[in-house]
Amino acid sequence: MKALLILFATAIIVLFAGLSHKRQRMLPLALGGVLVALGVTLSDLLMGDSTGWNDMYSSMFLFDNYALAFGAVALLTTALIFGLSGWGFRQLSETLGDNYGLLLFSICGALVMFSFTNVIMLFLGIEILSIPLYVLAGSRRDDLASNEAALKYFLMGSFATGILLFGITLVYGCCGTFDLQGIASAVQSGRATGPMFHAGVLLIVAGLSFKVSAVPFHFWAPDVYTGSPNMVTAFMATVVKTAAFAAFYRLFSTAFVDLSAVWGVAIAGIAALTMTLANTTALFQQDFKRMMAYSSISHAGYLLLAILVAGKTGAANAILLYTLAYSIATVCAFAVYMTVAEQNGDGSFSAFNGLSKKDPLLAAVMAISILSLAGIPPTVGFFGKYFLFTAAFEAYPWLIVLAVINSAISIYYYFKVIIAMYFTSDENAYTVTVPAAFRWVMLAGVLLIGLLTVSPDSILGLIR
Amino acid sequence: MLEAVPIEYFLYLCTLLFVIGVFGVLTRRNAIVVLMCIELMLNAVNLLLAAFSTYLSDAQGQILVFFIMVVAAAEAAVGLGILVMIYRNTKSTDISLLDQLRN
Repeated sequence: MKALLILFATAIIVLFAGLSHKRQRMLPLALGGVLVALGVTLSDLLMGDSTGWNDMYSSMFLFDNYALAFGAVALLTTALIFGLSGWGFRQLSETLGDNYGLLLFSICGALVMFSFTNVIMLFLGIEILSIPLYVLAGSRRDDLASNEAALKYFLMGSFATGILLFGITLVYGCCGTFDLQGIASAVQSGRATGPMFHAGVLLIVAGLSFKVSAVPFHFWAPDVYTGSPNMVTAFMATVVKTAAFAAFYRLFSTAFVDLSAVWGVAIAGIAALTMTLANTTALFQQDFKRMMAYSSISHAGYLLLAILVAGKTGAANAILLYTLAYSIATVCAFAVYMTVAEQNGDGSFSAFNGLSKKDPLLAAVMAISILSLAGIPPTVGFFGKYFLFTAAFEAYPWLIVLAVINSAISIYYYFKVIIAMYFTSDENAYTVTVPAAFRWVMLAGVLLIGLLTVSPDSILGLIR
Repeated sequence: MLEAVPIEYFLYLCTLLFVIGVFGVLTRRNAIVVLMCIELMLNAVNLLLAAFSTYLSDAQGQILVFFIMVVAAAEAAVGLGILVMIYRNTKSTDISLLDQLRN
């Protein structure tokens, strides 16, 4: 609750500060707001909250451990992304304040999605998260690719919202309430049943699958990720993904937990399709950003495994560790990609040729993030996958076998980057200069990956 | 008066409107028509929510209707803004022109 208020106030202040055209004040203001919110969230999470603010309006949203833990992940990721923004937003002039403001409003939506106890708030959270992103995706107004990304994201986003809302309405028609506990007790008492209710649940699954970009509702994601400005893509691939999965899990672990007979098969099928199709398509990509888009879809497939066992002990913590590891590694990879691609004007794998000789540290950061994304032991990405797969192994052994095969496939395309950096001779005549802020973000990211690698257990006890 | 109409009729009508909207989104090529079809989907939901709300004698459904109307207005504003931006660059609202990203 406190973090939500702080971020909302910061967003409004930043929006108005944008009018004053003082560029150098914008980043400290926005980053400061995010760091204060992160500090408050972490202190509430680790030391408990005595003010009672987190229980306010608890029939609408409740900042329990689950919400605070995911809030901390999203805010940490945002802080890292804001660290990149000094250089990442260098071409923006009069719209700088708007960009920071919209990103901050978007996180407010993410925090609502972590904490909702009422389906109305889920809908509002998704919209507060998405609407600023439709604008941000098109923030390079003269670039046709960015325009196309904005339109596709907008149309598919509102289409998904429509489907989600129709599902919510059908569920409401059967249960007579939007409250998660109310729906759960209607399911338990047998009041909510019949084809209309089941259709509603499946429509909600479809609507949320759009949001997490799971196959067959993923077709917008590669185009939107490629066309959006790099900073926005980094945000979409990390914070938005985390928010969508946390909301998905929260809904299915409370309201529909006793209904797995209805949605279990659907989600298992979606997960199997998502992993297989995304990983095989990623093999053929030549562009790093597009490869990362397919990689993010494949990670959605792995994360769906935890939704399948929603409510089981360990599943929530497994999602938490996985999204944290994935977000940090993705931000680091994007930091290296932005440095190389924006100075080189080329985002394909060959842009990375011989990077280990030009800047060994940059190549090392990329290698560590890629290893973590691929889930190579002993990186934290491996532990994330391990806990996720063990959580779902008992219920769906065949799906875990498929997931492990897919992880093996994914190593091939992830290693294309490493091979380009370390084993391909340098034919590019450009030089790479890393902005100072990027060094700090990469250092923080690699340190976090290192810390999590040493003690992944520290994360696993956070959600009780 | 309203109770005289069975709730199933509302369900069929709204499902029909919703399916028309979905069909329009998937087949039409003009971005403005697609936007209108999305509005049709949302309004089908609104009508069904209002019907359920009356049928269940529960005000929550009507509250969500208000929220959906506000969000739909915000979405329409952003969507039309994006369309104006695209029209300035391409002089067209045909979404099939926008396939640069699909290699």
